[in-house]
Amino acid sequence: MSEPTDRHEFDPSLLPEPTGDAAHRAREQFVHALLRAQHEAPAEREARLARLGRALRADEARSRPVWIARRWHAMSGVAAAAALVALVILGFPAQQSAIAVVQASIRAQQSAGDRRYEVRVIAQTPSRAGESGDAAPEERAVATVDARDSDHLLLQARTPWGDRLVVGRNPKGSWAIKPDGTIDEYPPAQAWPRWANFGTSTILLSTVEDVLQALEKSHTLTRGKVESYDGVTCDRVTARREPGPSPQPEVIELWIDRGSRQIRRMELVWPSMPRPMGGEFGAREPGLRGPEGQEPRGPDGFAPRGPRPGGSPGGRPPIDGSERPPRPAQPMMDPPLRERPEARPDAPGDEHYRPPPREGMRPDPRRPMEAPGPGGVGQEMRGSGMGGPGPGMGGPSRGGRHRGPRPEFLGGPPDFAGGRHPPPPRKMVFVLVPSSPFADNWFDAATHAQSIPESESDPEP
Amino acid sequence: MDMVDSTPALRLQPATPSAHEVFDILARQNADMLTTYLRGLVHRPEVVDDLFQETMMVAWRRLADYDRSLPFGPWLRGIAGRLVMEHRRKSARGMLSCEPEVLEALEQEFRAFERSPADTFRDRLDRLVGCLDRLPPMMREAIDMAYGRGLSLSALAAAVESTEEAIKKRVQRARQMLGNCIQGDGA
Repeated sequence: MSEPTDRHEFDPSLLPEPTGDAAHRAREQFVHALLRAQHEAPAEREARLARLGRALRADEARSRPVWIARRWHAMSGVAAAAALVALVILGFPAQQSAIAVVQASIRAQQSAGDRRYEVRVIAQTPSRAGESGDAAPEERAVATVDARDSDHLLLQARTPWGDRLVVGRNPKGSWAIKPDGTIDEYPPAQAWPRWANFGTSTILLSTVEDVLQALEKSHTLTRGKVESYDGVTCDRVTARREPGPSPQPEVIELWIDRGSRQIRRMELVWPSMPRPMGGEFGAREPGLRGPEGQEPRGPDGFAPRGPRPGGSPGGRPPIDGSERPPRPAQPMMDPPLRERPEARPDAPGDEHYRPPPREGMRPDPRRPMEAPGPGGVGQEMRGSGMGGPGPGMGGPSRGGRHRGPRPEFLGGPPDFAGGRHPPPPRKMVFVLVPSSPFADNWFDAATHAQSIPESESDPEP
Repeated sequence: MDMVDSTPALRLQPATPSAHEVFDILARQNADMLTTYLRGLVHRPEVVDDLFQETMMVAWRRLADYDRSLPFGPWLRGIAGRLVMEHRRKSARGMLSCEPEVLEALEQEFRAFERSPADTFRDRLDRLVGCLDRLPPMMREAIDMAYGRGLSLSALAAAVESTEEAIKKRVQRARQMLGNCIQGDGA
């Protein structure tokens, strides 16, 4: 047999001719193709695969839509804050009584059926120059996580800037809802906040095997006294991280229902962040401004989307943040989702579930803009949530500033203390809230594709 | 073990790093098969390459639609077949027969071929070598000159001191015999 030849060297005059029936033609064309394949040079195959690899990478980068980047950007502070929640949860060392409680709880989680957790965040205590820092911490409901089992998950979140994040997973795969309400059946992994997605599990659905596998390292697990939480007798488990720099929460508190073994409440507590480049040593302040070239962020790490108050017309924020108005007193938190019947999956008209813009989290885009405060457009909205909503709420900024690169921490653990990543919140709380069984289609993208009115979507430029 | 048939066991989570890796494996496992399939329908190499890439890209984007209980290869060929038909509507130049009934028959050829025990598509090509050895010498020579050395019809005819028409018939007949041999219909 001769050596492989160049692919162009086959005379079309010798191609199979379209004679005979379909089976006859197919057979001859099949053999023709085999013969061509047999004489293909390996380099040609490799070149084809290399070209495909480049195309896949390019497509992946290109197909990650701006809205995903923006949402992830906006969520990234919280996501970074809890990026290693799962690891922490999985990192309980062997203190048998405590770990037995946790293991039993995790088993219960896996068969607990439909349930909803509300995710709340408490920001780092304001520590800006001129502020007392003793203001009551703001607790804010930022998301809900609905779970049925490891194949049925739904995360709904809304950033202070009004971005609504809806991502889900069902046995067919993951999906996300685009701002225009349409379905992205092939969302990038970044569509999921990291704290919600840990491989094939989630922090609320970790497998016992995961726990055992990661039984190590950073936290010391202790079992506390039985407590009553929300009228339910709960075992108390505390996980405390070993001293040393780490992006992981310093303390994790668990309230585990003694009867059902479900986690009723989980608190992740980070220490107060140092000021790596702020205060008397520099201009920056964690949570208010990222390092050079990165996004400015609120104390919870949310990245604002528009120009800052008092910023330049081009959206450039003031250098030291000093022009930012002090945060007004705010209610402790948004109304929890559970208190809003329209947000319940079993609410009337659930098929067209359409939660209203949440006060303090997002202005009604259809509402005429209020007169801007002294700090500039949108300043009146600031402080209504952690980090405050982004300014320019009459319409999301489409300036170039917030189209920057994705947060650097995506490639690894966040570096809060080093000032290279936005700081975590002071506390992140997962609370089991009452919920009725979800509708069969609750974890289907189509159910939620209808739920985002066009007027709430992000108008692309 | 048939690697293609083993793919349903893999858990695919679109757009996760593992899904990317899994798809990369699947693409490599099926690259030869897909290229061959396209060559059975399209002559022009550059079109084959374009359709190969387009097929893989569509598969990657539609990975969530892939029924994991089924082998990956036929799903890939289904995509490729539709793209070939689409291409043919734009330009029939360099196309072989690709009517729906031919596509269906071609699919049956591939399925039968993939039933043979082998790890990879390329391993299955070894059967082709065995069948070539069983061809009459004149036919084997014609196939070798046409496919192996890339001789044109006229050059081939001159080399074997025959007419072009006779050579065309010889190559055609050789392909039919090879097909029967490879698919176990007897040569």
